[in-house]
Amino acid sequence: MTRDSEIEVERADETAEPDPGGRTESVWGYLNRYSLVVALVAVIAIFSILRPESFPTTQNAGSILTGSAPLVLMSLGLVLPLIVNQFDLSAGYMATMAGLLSVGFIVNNDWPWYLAVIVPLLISLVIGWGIGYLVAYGGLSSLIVTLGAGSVLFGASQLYSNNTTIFMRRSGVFQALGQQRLFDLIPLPFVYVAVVAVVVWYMLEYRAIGRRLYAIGGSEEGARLVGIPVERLTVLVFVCSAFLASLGGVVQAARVGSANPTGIASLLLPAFTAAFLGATSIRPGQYNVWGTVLAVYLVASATTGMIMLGAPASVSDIFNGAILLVAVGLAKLTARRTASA
Amino acid sequence: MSDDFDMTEVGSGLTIIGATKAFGATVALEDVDLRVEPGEIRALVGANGSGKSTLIKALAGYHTLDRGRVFVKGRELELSRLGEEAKSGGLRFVHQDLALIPTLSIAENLALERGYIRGALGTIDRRKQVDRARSQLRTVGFDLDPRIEVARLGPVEKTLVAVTRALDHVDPTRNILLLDEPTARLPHSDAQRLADTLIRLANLGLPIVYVTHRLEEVYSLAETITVLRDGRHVHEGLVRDIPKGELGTLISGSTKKRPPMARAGGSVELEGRPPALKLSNVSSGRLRNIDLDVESGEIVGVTGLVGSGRSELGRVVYGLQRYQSGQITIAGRVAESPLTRANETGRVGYTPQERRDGLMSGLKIMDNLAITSFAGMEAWYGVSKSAVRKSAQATITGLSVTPNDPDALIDALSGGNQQKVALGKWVRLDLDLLILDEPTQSIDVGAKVELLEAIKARAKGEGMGVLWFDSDVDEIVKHSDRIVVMTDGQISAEFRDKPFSASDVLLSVYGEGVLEVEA
Repeated sequence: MTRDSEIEVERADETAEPDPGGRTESVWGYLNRYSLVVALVAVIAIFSILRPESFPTTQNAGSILTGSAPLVLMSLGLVLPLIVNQFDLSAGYMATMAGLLSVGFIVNNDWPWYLAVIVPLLISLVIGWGIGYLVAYGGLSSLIVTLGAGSVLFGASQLYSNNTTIFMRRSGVFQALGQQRLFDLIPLPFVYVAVVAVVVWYMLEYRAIGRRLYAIGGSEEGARLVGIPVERLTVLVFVCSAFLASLGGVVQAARVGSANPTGIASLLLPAFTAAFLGATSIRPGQYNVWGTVLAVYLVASATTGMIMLGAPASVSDIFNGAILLVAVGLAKLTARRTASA
Repeated sequence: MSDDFDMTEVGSGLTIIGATKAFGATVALEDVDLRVEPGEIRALVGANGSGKSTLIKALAGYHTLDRGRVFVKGRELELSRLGEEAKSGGLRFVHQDLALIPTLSIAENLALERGYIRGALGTIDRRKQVDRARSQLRTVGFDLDPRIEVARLGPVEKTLVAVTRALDHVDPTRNILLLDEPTARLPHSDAQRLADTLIRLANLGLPIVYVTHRLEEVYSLAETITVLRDGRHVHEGLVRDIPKGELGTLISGSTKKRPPMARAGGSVELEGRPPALKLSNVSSGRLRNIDLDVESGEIVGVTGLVGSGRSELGRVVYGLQRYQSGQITIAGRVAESPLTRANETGRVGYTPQERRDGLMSGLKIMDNLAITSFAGMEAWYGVSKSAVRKSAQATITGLSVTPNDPDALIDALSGGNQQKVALGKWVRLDLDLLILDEPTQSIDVGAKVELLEAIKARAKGEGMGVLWFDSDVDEIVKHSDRIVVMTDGQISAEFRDKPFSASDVLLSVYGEGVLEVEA
């Protein structure tokens, strides 16, 4: 039914030779595309020189890869609503709730580890669906809906935990999921990150659904006019975002063997930072998976390095906030540059 | 039809002599004269593209005239800074798009133009603000509560607010009012209210230039008339000197037959193919009892005035708007909601009037083209980038899109090229029906021809039916197989025999239809 266009083939032949090789990329464009890679390499090099005994070690690498895993998952979740111009501000509290429930189910209810993992994830799917429904069909601003939902989740988490940290009493499969290494080499949380990143990347880049999400971001009305089910896909991105945030929360709980109602919620800002910073690289001007992943590890390496140099831990908040502003500025600049190219 | 003005003829109102404006090779205005004296209401009429709006926009400073002289109250304005000079010379405009801010109240909208009344600390005095707005409205003769949000006003009140803003502080001896189709979206009764106000203001000495498509308004409102056709003024004089039946002819030009147009082959008879589109007695909103068929391979041009239901019909057929009664059949299947059908089968295409609604900004050309259907671009792993690129390359080469690069961002393209991509995403598919709403609006002549040729080739070659809505009668006449004219939500005329005469079509758009409805 569809076939590649042969509109006026005669004319096509006599006018221009299609030249896919003609798309030469300037040095600037190339640097711009891989700026985050360059920055990451530079950061690693600098701190390896400044702290040769502690920074460039497998142990430190492992701790950065594992420690940042929940943040990567949450960031990748945020990328999906961002692509369709929606914000999910509930991600931090979604992660909090899921982490608390998973630990709580094991500690308080003696549930087996798989139920303790799956049930919080299922709950987040339902909440994500509710949020998406209000945004897509209720026409409410996603900022407001997710801010409200986040607050509800925060309050519920405080109630559930009695405002204290819930600790795992004995080690088991649950903690192993967050602490073991695959083949004694790759930390499991990083394996989850890699799997999720590949799946999301594949869906966004190589499935029609991903192309449609970017189309909605380009013009919602335009997308609707070509028959894209804008409302249904809007619900879907919030479901996915909620799922990935709560997966991050569960991974975090498994990694540290405890959960509390405040800790992980503070990852919301760094997660947005990563998504925005990621949009300046790899596919400049578009929210994308690998840019986001790189951004998380860039920020994590830099803060770890600075703390090793003796900076107080609070430096990471300052650093994150500053990077967020720079990232948004850069993203704007990149978009303008690409548009006027 | 006086051709030579001399200085003694420069009146005390607005006088334009020899206004000329070309856009590239297209001459939009050529030696146009227009004058309006104090207390006079002058109708400025002409078909689409005759240059009315260009003239008004040039006076407002949107376009710079290439040549010509403009006098206000006997003083000549400098062409290079006509906009500012016209404003300080007292020219006031009501443009077709009323330019009101819907979320603000009437008082606030008026204050945006006039400024705010401030109290001792620089705070805005809302009470005084509202009082002033009320008196502004009263001065012009409207009794509206200035605290009402503009979004809650009906079309006539919105127009009244825009008029009030233009007339704010109006001094009939100092100001000149130019209105560009203020009644295009108003029902007749509301238009009458506006007319009363204008007549009252003219009696106070205000010179008014009134652009309209409604010929009955010319007779009820204006004293004098200037008719533009193809960028020239072809008639100038008193309204009462023109018999009612002849105004339509004046606007549409001579009744001489145009030379037959080259045709891209006759319609292919595709045996056994049901009509691409069949509307039986469809009513919805403004639309009343529409019966219309589009055969497979046929291009049906639909024209009519703004507000005739033209665009609405397109939206109903594509399924963006529900229809209340009747039946729509597309390629033999009853279409409850064609949009869903289009999505599922990829067999109905639609390009909206607003170009930005047909494009995904921030995306590459190839992604904009592929979005309608990924069929034929899939590899074992999903959507193949190289197939998407290859298909896009073929489409943009066929349509001569510049730059010839599937990876270029859509935002970097010129308007005409963007429109080619917006259409290309449908034309590349094998469709039953393509619905076009003003597809060639504001694109250059060359691009226009290429687009229409591509659509024609597709219709004739594949049997795609085309339902084409346009206000540009010349285009419709050149490229349609059949022409349908809409008036007040109904089909008022149909032309089947080629070659079509643009003047006959225009006559039924402007003349008979409108006048009959009034009579």
